[in-house]
Amino acid sequence: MATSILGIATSGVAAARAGLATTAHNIANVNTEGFSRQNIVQSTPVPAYTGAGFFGAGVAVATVRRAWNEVLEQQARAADSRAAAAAELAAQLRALDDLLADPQAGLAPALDEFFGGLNEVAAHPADAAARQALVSRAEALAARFRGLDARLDDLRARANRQTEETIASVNATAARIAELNRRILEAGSVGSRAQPPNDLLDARDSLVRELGREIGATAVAQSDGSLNVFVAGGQAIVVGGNAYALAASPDPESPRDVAISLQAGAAPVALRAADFSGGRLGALLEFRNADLAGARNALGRIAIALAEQMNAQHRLGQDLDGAMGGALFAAGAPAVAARATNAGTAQLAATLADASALTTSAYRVLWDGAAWQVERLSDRMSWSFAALPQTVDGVTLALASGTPAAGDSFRLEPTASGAAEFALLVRQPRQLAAAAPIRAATSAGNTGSGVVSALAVNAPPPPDPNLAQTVTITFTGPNTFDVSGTGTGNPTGVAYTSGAPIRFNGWTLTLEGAPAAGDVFTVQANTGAVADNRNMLALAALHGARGIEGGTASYGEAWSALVGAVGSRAREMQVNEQALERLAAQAEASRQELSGVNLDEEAANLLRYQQAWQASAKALAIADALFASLLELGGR
Amino acid sequence: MRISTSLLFESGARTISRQQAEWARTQQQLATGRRLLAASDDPLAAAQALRTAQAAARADQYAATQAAARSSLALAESVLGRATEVLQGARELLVQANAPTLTDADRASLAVALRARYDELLALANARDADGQYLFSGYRGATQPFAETAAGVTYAGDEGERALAVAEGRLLAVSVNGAWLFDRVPDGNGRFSVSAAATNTGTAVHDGGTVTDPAALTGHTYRIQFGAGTPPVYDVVDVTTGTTLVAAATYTSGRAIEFDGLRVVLSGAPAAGDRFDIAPSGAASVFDTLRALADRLAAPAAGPAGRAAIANTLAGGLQALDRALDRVLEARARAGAGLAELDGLGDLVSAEKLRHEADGARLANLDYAEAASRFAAQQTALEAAQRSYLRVTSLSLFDLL
Repeated sequence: MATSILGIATSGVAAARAGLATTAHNIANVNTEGFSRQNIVQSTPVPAYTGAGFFGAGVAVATVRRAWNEVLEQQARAADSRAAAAAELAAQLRALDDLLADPQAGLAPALDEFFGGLNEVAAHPADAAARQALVSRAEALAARFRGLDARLDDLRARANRQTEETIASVNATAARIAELNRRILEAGSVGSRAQPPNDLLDARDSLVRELGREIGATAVAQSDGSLNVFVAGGQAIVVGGNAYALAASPDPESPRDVAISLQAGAAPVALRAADFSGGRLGALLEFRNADLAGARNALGRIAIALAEQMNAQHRLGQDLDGAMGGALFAAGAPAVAARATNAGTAQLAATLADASALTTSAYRVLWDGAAWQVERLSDRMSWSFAALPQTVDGVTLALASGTPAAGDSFRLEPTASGAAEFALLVRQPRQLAAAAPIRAATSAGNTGSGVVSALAVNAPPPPDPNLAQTVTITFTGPNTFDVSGTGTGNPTGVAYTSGAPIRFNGWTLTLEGAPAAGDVFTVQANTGAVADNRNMLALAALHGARGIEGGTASYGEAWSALVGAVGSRAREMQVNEQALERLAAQAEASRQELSGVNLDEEAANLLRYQQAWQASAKALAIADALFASLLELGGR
Repeated sequence: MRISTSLLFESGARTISRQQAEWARTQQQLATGRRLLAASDDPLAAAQALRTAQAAARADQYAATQAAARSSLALAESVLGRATEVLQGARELLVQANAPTLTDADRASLAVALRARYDELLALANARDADGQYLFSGYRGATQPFAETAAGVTYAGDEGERALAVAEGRLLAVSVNGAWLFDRVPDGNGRFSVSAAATNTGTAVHDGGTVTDPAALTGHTYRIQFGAGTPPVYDVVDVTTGTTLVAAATYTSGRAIEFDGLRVVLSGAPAAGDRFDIAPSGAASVFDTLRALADRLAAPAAGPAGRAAIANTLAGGLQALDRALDRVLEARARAGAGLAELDGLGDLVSAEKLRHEADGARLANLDYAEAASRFAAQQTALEAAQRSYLRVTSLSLFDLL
């Protein structure tokens, strides 16, 4: 039986050596990401039968096993993926929040300064310095609008660039997973008794997890040991040893943005933002398409409403040279673009109808063959029209040219370019229309008690061409008057009700008191009226006027609503980020509880296998001693 | 539960870095004095703080506008105050000139003094403000409103009255137009005027007339026509309708003649054919009135009839000056009321601004006591985390092998 002792002791030494090697491997990989602790599985070989029963034949190392659990791995991967998405979204929103919330660099101070300038000119209408100050402040306001928009555009460009970088990284990771799939297949099929290639499996799991952080992936193990990976609602990106690439291309609906497609099979599959669950890519798309576009639209809406409403009032005024006021500001117009893949030739045109009705959403316009379907993307509200033009949310859509084919789609962006193209048009201080273009005069010989209580130019522009024509209203009795003047048709015997407005040539005159027969009131051009500030007062009054969001918000309020909305979204995402980060940490802790290397444990294992080795070596020594004794017996 | 060594290091380091981030945030709050470093710190408060800042800015603008309005009104008030003195001086000169003992030379010297008042009033009416704009030319700030021509003083301004937005929804008029103030002042007693015909040869003098029953006034033109006789008789004719209201009534000096809600007292001895005309008040320029009076005083009076003519002219002139004074005083009263309102509004606006600023400060500014104690607590926690991290990670079985 002596040879048997030698064999048993040798197997013990070999097993202990294998244990020591595995422990050393564990210790060496204590900081390797995704490494799972390994241990050897020992078993007893088939015992030898003798007349005295079965004698053990020593020990055999059955396999090297990694401490790994698929459920824990999947949990950690999913939690990681969601945490990465939340972290990315929170980081992007923090940048947006920082941009908008700076109290000095925001829109609010520039707006206040501008309206302060209007008030200054109202107080000193003829003062060249006050007028110049107003021009400068209006210039500063325009620059602030454009500057804010440019910084929002920088964020958009950055998100697009990050999207492209992430796509490149996803493609590289997917390719490496496919490569590992191939190597695992090869390694697993060597020899008749397949052993798991633990380190390759760990490396693959680690890569899948990395992919999950970038794009949100699910992995399905196949019976042959390979792993198929799916992204964005079930699109296969890795199948066995093959990886499919993601591609970034201009978005057919908004060509300045990057769209993502998967190059699987003949036709690329477009991946939409809503398809992604977790992963940085989905977060980037969500930020760019929802938060950033929303902020930009909101800023653009303020710019458009301000320009539109200021211009309307300014055009009713008269400048220092006696000319009618022109447009004060220019702002970007609503834009509508046909999708690049449309089959028909139709082009749509969008024009602003009512700035106060604008929303901050984009719209999809679809010709379904029978009707135009207009869908507001923010809340999926939709309208159906048999024919254009139609006005939706303050924008009039018309068919500019061509004919649509069924299924043609258009994207309407009412306010996206509002702030980017915001500019001051009046550069000469003299061209600021502070005065009203007309004034009323009463005749010196009037005997009644009637006086002019108000004379206003009717809104909206353009003003009546005969606005400044001299019109004489002669009362022929307390309740009737004759009118003479170009553009009035010279009516006679017009009935007058005390206090009722008198309207001709685009103005409204209101009298107070009782005019007597023979009293004459004249409306005429307001020549030389350098001290008149009526139009400037009307412009300054727009500061508090609620001309946005269907007449519920002033310019300043719309701005603070934007800052508050972005702030609360950023806040929400920060809370979300913290919660998900904690969840991911917990899932990782659970995984590490099973798979992680504990150095103290490994130290103990070292001792254990060292002692086992020493003991088996001792057995070897004894077998050797026994053998030597036998030899001595023979030698005697 | 197994703890993996790398997790031990990682989670310890993560805890420390999180605590460091919070600590640094508190430090930044302390350094800037702002509770809200970004809108996401407290979105509601951030939006509110923006709104209160805007409200404070608007209050500032109202304060600036009020200052402009105050200076306009104060200037108008002081110019009108001087105009009041000038008109009162002119009125005193007229009263002096009415004394029956004055010689032509006395009256001529009074005419010179009156002329000086006229010049001063004209200068006041053409006053300019700090921006170089005429005060009383309506909207035509750059146009001199009153200019002397051969035909009299003409008004070149318009009837515009400048207003400023001094509070939410409050437009305060800060200018008075010269047409109303100086150029179209009613004559007579404001309702009707009495004048003696230039052809009168008697010594009858009128008192300017008074209204006895405003409801009965017709607005018609009347004539009191004297006939021959001792005592004289007179007719009262409604010229507008052509009817004779009173026929051949006996005249008594100093007794009132009343009809259609008005009363005229004539005194002195009218001659046959003398006539007094009663007409509704018209509008006259105060400058024309003053100049006409000065011219009349400068001309010599011929006998009792001439003196009566001067007395009649002076009676009408006094009335006209009183009407002009009424206008100036009314404009002063309006300016005064505006100034008083501005004082009230100024208090209101500054209180409002304070309130908005306090609101904004409460929303956005840091509570230093709270932040300082938070800072200390966070520091303690961070130190504890660092020390415990060192202890936990320094233990290893390998040290003992």
